[in-house]
Amino acid sequence: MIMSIFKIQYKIYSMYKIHFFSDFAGHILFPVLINVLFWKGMADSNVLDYSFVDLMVYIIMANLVMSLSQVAIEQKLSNDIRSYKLAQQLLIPVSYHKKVAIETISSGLVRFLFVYLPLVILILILYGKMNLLFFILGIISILFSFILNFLISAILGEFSFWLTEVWGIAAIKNLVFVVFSGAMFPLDILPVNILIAFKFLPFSYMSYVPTKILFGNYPFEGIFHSYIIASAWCLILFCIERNIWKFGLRKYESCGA
Amino acid sequence: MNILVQSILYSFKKSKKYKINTISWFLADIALYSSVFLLYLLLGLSLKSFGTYTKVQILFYISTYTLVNNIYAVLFSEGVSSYSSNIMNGYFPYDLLTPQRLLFGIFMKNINFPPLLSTPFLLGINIYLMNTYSPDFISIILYYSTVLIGAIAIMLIFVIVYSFQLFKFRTEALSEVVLQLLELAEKPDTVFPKNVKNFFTFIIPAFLMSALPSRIILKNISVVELLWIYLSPAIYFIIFLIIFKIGIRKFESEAE
Repeated sequence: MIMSIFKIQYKIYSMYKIHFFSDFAGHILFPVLINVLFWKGMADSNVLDYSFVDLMVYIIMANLVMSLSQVAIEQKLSNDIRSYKLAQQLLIPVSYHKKVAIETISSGLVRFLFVYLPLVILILILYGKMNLLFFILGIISILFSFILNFLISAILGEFSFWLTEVWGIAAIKNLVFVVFSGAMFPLDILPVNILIAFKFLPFSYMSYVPTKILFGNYPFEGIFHSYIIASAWCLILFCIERNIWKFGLRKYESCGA
Repeated sequence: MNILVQSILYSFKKSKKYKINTISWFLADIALYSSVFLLYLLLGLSLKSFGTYTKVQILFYISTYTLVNNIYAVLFSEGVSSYSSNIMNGYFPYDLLTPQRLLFGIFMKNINFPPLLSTPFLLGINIYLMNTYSPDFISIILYYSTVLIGAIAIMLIFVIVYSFQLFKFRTEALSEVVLQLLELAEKPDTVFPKNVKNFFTFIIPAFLMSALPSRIILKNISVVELLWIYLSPAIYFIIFLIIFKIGIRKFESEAE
């Protein structure tokens, strides 16, 4: 089943070339371009701890990591819940969440293998920061980022048991993530106490921490701590998601011929 | 006027019916606007200035952006979305048959009440920040009229983009890109090179949502920029009309 879904996702991704364009332009090209120009101007009028080149490379990589781990299943869940589809899915002998997870992972994997991974490796090689150990540790961190995104997206989608529309909340979620994940700027330009506070929130594990690890700019004990905190957030969000699903299903009704 | 009152009342009744929906919109809106303010407050702890804007000026700049965004969400967001989806799903002939001007009719039917709940909060912040510059009455009138014009200009940009659907183009990719580009409005314009700044003022009017209205109160707006604010809706509307008139000849739909 996993391979079949992966093949379908690959076909979808390669068939709608315009989606490839919008995905790349909307999530990578323009955000990076805007951020590069913005921070170039900011660096001219402010003293930053980063050189301009370091800042640019960070922003490009952080946006790549963010796009790679971004999950947007809330609309699918919402459509399924609000239509007859969820009832149909619940009747088939495959776990609904497992199916959604495999679909999401395989579509993410297609984007990862064909677009993002080559770009990540290229940047690391050009920037002279390619280190196999940190690369593997970085990929593990990206995996946590993916899980966090998946769980938050699922929670928002499952709000459809009570709400008629979730697209507004989903759009806001994306903006809030971009702001606080470190995709817009490296979080360590902020005062130390604020950076410490950010370490206890899930946002920095979506872009800032994986990016720093990939560049080998994160101490080993910091990496270990980041895995623990990200795992704790995954567990908390998983419990929340399970409870929302359980309460939502109690309320859910569907009929159809 | 009657139709405007009726549509607001309808939207209000709808929001009362789906209370949890309205509350979630309100909370999400507040979270969004607070996070943008918080971002610049945090950056202000580490940075001296934002282009030519001081730390206080940038907060006023952001409050202008959030206000324009909010007005757009109340008056136009649902309408723009309905205009786009109706062309695609075959309901557009019904819009064409209504005895009102097309866009007016669509927007009146689709006023979005929930974002209106966060308007007092945003307006309060905006007035508080504006008072630090002690603006005169004329500037205040000019400022709020340009805030409304900013929202109208963004609406026109989106209806121009979606009008290409009349030619059987799928516009998702283009609208996604335009959306990304408009998010630039949140960033201070003077940070960007002059060409980029001009592009996002006169072609894609992102800075019409933030920089130009703000500079009326900050008293550093040029005559050309002020003229552009008032001319831009007319120009974008003419572009829309041209595209629409050609597109509607090519548009085909079957509806019962």
